[in-house]
Amino acid sequence: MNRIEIDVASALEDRRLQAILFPALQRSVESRDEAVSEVENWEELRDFGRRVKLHTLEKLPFYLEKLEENVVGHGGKVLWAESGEDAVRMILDIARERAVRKVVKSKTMLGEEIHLNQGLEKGGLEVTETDLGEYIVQLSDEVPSHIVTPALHKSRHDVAELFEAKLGMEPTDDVAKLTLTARKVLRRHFLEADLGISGVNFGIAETGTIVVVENEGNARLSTSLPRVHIALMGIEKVIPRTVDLSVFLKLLTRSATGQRITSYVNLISGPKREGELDGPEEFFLILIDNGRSQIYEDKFLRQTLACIRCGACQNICPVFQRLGGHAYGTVYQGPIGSILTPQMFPIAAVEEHPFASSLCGACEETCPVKIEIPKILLRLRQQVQEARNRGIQRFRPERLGMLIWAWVVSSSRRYGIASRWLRRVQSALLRNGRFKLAVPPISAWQKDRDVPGLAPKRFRDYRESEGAEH
Amino acid sequence: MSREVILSRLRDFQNREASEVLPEVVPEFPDFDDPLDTFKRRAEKAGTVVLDGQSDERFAAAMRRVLEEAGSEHLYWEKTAIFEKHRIPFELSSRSQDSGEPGVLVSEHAEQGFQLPVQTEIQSLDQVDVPGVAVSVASAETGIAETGTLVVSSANSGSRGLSVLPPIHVILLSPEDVLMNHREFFQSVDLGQYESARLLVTGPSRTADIEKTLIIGVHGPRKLFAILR
Repeated sequence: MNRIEIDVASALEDRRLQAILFPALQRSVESRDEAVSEVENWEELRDFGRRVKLHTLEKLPFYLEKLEENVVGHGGKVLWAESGEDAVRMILDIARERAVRKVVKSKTMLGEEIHLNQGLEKGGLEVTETDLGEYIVQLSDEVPSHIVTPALHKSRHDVAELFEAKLGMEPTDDVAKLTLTARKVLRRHFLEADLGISGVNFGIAETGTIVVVENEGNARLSTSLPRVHIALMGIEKVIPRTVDLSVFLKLLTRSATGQRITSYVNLISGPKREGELDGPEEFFLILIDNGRSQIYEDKFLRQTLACIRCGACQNICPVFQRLGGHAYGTVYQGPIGSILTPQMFPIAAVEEHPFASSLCGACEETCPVKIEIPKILLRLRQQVQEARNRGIQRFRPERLGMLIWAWVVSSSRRYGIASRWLRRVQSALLRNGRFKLAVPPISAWQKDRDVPGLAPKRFRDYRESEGAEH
Repeated sequence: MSREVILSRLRDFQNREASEVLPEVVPEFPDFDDPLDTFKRRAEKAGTVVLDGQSDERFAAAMRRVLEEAGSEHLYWEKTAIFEKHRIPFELSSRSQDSGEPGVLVSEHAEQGFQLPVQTEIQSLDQVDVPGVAVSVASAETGIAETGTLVVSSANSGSRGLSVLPPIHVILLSPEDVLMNHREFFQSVDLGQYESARLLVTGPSRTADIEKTLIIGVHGPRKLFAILR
């Protein structure tokens, strides 16, 4: 068994996980649907968002340079990192030169992607996550299990046990008390930190402004109180104009949490200005590639980079709803993860990910920027299979089987004859009402799939004889 | 240089002629017959307490309610510019010196039973006992009806940190500054021209990170007041 299968089995058997996962995701789907149904021109907004993103991606060098120019114009500094390691090294250099000891972080998936915490801790810095979900995940030495709600896999009891063990808190099941405890502990870190690190939801090229969307207020504090602010931004997060943000904010918050807008949207243009009361003395924007330009190469696959990280495809995915994020074993999980990860890091460990989908299409339907996830999954599967077949010249029964299958089902007459025949002989092949064939390649295909026997009567015949009035 | 490597790699792949044109027309955003009323309703739905302070009496009552909620006697006004903009009826500098208690101001409306102790403008956060601040008062440059959002700027309202640190946050809003929707706001705003940070505030700080259970007041204020003035 390979690793992904092991993780599937253990996720499905994890009763604690199963008890919280589906209801939580279902609630997210419902609130997203409610928020979206209120918007009459949602489809128009999606089209607009997609077109702006695709345009920006085509002109990416132009917009990145414009963003850089305007950030510098506000007194900020812009650094470019080819890889995650480069970015971590840059941050460590900045910290060392300024004698930084304590770091507060607001939520950044890019930080997870480049294993920032481990890198900074190795460099001797004390790092504290300040988003409640991220803090929980950090305390329990885990990785996030969802793009938007990192501690989705944890129940209130899990969090209570964790806070009892790590923070010496009295045992409680009260979510409000747990939250208040985190607030108190983290408040001290905010006031003591020398460096704040944040992610970036959007970078506006036209004005040199970075946008950080949040609900807790921790991003505001992380980017305002410490004397240095470093923002980490994937190169695909740039948008051309300020007015584009009106549409992207609407798409993002309604898709992510079902809110008309989040409690806070931070629009940051450089470090503290003269005459301002507070804010960081220095502002750095690190533009990170880390595999993104590889996706950029293919014009069709490039739309993968349009993702605004709302997590809606994770919420609605029937596979994710049963497994949660950890089973994927990657930073980006679920439908978007299955197209993003293999393209950014084309390694054997994630080769199976494009296959971990039923191709039901719910992800594309819910995606606020209409990324054609199922089509991309198919394309990636094709690439994997082609690589596997390379150099192998042999008779492939699978191919012959598929040709016969296609010939049979493409005519209603042939399909009718075949099913009548199969109905007559199937009893010899059925075990507990299911086909079990020990002939390869069908046996391999059946390993993870049930093939129920045909009903005794065709639906058409049934409808004509008994169900005519329906 | 990483910069050159990344940019040249992107340029290598880039199509010479963009086939996807940047759309000029931004989709419609909702309009409302009475934007101020929509602002109030939507702000309240997001958890903001909207109070009317347009007359001096009502403003006094609103501020009393804030202090009661905070259990505090001190308000931190983030900038004195707020007093002028919102016609706050106090003789600031002279009264402050007369009373002998630095930072405590007595209203001219004392005869109406309205005394308002205030901490005047903060010079820098270092001077403030941050954990001790119970209420901070800022001024919104704009309200957005569509979402009940208040926009504060580090240039004219005040502190970036104090908008989040105290448990109670008050934002004053002139009713004539309410815009219809986000398209109108983002089309008219000039980000970064005068300020290092603008903040869109919609309701108090919140989280649903544990079992998707909504909790109000995580790192930021547990109560947000918008006073129309």
